[in-house]
Amino acid sequence: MKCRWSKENLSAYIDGELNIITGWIIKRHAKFCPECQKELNELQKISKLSKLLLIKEPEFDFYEQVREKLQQVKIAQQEKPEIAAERKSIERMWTFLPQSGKAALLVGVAALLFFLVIYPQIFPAPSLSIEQFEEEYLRSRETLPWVESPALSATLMSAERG
Amino acid sequence: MANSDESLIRRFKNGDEESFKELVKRYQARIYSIVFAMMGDKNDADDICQEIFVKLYRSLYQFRGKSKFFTWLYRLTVNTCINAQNGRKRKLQTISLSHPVGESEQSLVEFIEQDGENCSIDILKNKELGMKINSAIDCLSDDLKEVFILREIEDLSYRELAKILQCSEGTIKSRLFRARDRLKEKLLPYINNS
Amino acid sequence: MNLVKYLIALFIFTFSFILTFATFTFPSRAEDSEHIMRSSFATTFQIDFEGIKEVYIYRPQTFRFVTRVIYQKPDFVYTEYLEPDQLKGKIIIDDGKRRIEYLSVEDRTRILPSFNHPQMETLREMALKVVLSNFKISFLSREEMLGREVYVFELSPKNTISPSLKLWIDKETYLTLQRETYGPGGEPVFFFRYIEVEFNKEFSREKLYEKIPQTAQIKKEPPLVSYFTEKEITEKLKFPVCFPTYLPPGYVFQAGELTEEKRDVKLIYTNGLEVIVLFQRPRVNIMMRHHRWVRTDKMRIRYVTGPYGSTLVWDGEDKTFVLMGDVPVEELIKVAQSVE
Repeated sequence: MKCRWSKENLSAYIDGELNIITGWIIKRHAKFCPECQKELNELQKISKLSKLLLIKEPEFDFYEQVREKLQQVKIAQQEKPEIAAERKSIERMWTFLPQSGKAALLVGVAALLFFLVIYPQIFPAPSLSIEQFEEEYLRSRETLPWVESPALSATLMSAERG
Repeated sequence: MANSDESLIRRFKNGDEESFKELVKRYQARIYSIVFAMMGDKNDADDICQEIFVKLYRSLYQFRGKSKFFTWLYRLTVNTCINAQNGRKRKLQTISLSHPVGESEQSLVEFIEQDGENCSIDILKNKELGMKINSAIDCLSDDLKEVFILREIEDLSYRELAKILQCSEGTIKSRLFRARDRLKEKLLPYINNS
Repeated sequence: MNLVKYLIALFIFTFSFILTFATFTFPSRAEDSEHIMRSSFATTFQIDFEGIKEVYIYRPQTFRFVTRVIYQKPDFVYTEYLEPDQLKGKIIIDDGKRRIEYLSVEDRTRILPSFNHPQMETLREMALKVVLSNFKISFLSREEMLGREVYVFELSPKNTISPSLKLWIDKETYLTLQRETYGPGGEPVFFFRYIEVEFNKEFSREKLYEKIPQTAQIKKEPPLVSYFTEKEITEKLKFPVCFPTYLPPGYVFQAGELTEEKRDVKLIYTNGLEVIVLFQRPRVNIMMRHHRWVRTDKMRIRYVTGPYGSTLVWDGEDKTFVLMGDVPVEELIKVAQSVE
């Protein structure tokens, strides 16, 4: 019974969060109970190792990166009213455009879409993902006898494809 | 004499940008460690840390000083991480060339820091232990993970933890107990061998 | 007089003894080392073998993989991942005609051209030549590993950017049982070793194929790949090809590949261990995450460094270039700047 109670409090004990009396009882109990003593050692070990592993340093230019991001946020906020103004002026242009002008514009857009469907190669794909190039690179690499396989195959297979 | 957080914030509110820099430098390593441990991914950690300090910059004017500054900052950190985790799709992580070193490897293949020039089997064994610990922490549920990480990195008292995570001290105590119990369960064979 | 005869006889005896010892026990002569290297390059196609392989990659974090590998004469290779959990059950079967990759976690299959195809032999042969000209091979010792006799070799690069290697090569079959790769600064980059080996083992290929679900995809033919020389590429292509005038030390042109529309070119350069690949195609927007920028007077390059090297992307006048390779990023930037 006492062991169970003790075990539940060991975690708080290593954190130094028990009141003096409870702390003393645990300490005394662990002294005479090899099982609790062992558990205490294990918990301390885990805590110590985790601490070592968890502490990381950011990159040396971290503050500069933050500052850059702050600038971007500031610029984005400043741009907003300009974009709104631009949109308004485009709307105004559209309302003032004569009917024939509107029709010509619509025909133009339709023709563009038509060509896009018939001759897609005229319009190169707007964007490609870097991953397909990577796969090709890795394929070339893995044909060599001494590459770091099989790790690369892992990449090949797991690389996300659209 | 080093400036206190409060005096830096006061100076910042009066328009002194340098004091913000000092605050960032003071907390960057701690915040970064927490975020890295929560996210388990270097690039996410980079992005989220930057986001946290941008948020801090923009909301520092509203800081009234009712609670301690670091409690407030850690709460901001934990909330930002949780939001990011919720937003992140849970899918198979990849090692990919277009992801810089250290971005997503932890989830695919557990890893630990490189520690020197040697490649001997002993070091590999130590690395394996590190890998096991990292992956065991990663497997904890979010509520256990956050309290364990904050406690181990920052050595915060249960009272401070309770304030940051907005729960009772009893909850903190039982969560830490549960977190350590799970870790012990997973790591026991490795701990005793090391 | 007799004494002189005895001395001569003793000399001849000692000399021939040393010679025999040197020839049959230690591969001390350069051509012996070369012969062993050459054999080790092709050994996976000449044995029936099963082994468990442990692989570590330091980039700079440590990745660890464990795989089961089966080789069957003349061109069959089976690889199954045992660790890490996320890749457990991943199987690759390459039978000399095509390569099937099956990822059990996602239940996804992919068909690629075989890496053991006879046309690959030319590429392997070339890689070997480049290795022999780029590295100084020295025999270190004879050791025992997994109950087998092995030769230990060291390959030190003749330039400053290539890695150096240590190889443990099985004396009987020339299979590499352990390999350590160190970066130019002496830091470990890669390490593998077999932890279990079994030679001359017989397998039923059918049983191995059964591990992959027989979906329709398995029957699919792999895409065709042909390799061209620099001259052939220039003639076949619909637009002028750009070649780099600078290559990092030790690298030479290996081959070029074209897509079916003959709009995309892939130029491959090798130092025998690694490749540098330059893609070029009509201008396109390439999406990339977490990149950095480097600006030179001529161009703006996006780049990112990952576990297997660096990737550079930039736009020329009417073309987009992608350059990838496992050399320091500064070297790749130099290559990019030299593309004409």
